[in-house]
Amino acid sequence: MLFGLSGVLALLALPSEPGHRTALLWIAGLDLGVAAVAVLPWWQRWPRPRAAVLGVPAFAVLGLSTWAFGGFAAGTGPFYVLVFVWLGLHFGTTVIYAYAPVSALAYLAPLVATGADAQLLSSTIVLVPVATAVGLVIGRRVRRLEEARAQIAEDEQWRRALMSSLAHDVRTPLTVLHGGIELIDAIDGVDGQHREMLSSMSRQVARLARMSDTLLDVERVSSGALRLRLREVAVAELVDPLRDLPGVGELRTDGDDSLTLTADPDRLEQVLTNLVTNAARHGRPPVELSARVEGDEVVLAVRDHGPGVPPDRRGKLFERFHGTAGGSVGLGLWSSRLLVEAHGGSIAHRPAEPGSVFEVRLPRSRA
Amino acid sequence: MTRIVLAEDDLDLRTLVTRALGARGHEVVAVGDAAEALEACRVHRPALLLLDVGLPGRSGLEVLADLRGQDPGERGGEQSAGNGPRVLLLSGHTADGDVDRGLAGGADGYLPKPFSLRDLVERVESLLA
Repeated sequence: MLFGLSGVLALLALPSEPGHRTALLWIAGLDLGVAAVAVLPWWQRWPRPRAAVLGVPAFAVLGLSTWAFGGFAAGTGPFYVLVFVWLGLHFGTTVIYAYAPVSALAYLAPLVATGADAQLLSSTIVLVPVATAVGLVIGRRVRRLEEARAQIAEDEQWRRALMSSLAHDVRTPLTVLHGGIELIDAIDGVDGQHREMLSSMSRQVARLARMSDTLLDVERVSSGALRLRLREVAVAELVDPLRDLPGVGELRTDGDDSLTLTADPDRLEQVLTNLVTNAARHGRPPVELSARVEGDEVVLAVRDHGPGVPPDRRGKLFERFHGTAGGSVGLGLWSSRLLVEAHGGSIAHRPAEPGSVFEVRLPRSRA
Repeated sequence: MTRIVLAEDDLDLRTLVTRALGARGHEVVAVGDAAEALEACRVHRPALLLLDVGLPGRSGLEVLADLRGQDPGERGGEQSAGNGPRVLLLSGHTADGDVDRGLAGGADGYLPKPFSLRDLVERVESLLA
């Protein structure tokens, strides 16, 4: 841009400097030429080392300008820095060092040719190292950013692979485990103790399946691919499977569980499972689940009778990685919030005496 | 006895499903990839194809497309002539879109993994009824 500007300035100076007409025309043409090369995208497609040769004409233009102005170097000095900035942005340390003597030559030669005094010649000692240093500093910073960007891309690839593996690839093994448990359970003569072990294995397999579901939904929400399969669901239909969750023990229900609402039953069951499992794990029994209608909304509330959520953690409960205390990644409440919001509803926590209440509010129908 | 082709690349799951459906009196031909699935459908003319969406190489959806793309007169088998085997997709939730495409492409239903054998038997028998 600066080269372009300086070309235009040279053209503007033509009427007032008729004596330097040829020199100004040369400068304007060369400056505009360098500016055009800089703007055109084709040189960026060149292999890196080859494109670096463009520095030679740039320094040549600067040298010619100094010479054309009869050894007046103050106007071209900043442009040397500019060329080194360009070199720093696009090329490595070797190229920058290689251009240090080239730039010194381009700066000094016209001064010597026009018989400049020693003071002006000595300014090379300042200008060339400063310009080179600017190029090196910028180059180093750009290289670091490029490395960081490559690292982020690699991490993202790893995260996706991990996510995909946890969410998708575990589903076949889980099916085999679950089926194996079912087949053994169907054998006559398995005693009560072993049957108990089988049912705890079955519950843990179901838990792993839910974790995989959560990861899948989180992935879908972040990629905007979550699609709800809505239908009319009775609250009772959602509540019944919750009674089999590990550690839930007594699950009291009150309110009207014959209520119906329009929802994706699998997703809503996942949300309630998260809430009930949290209540069982972090609170104390009994865990109560109630359903009621408020205006156009169905309110599903899960309450425990434990110590409650510490005040300092209440504000961030539904944020990613903040949902649960140590030992858990903290995706449960966050993913619950995402799923409830996908239904057009909301989820909130309020303290109770004793314990906590988590309320899910959902529109009764989605007409 | 009803003949069922099971196309699933996981050997353990193949064994398990074969055993569970065998115990219900069905004859199960289990295969591990798309080419074998198409060949088994051609040779054995099953009433039902249990088709894993995520088969290696050519996917279950491509198998379905090939199967449904055949001349209707060539299908048949134990099912009423012209209808071809019924197809139940087994999906590892590879993508929701796959299931929708499968249903639009002529599958008769889908069962997401992990499924219980009880659910599988129920779905299979309701499709065969």
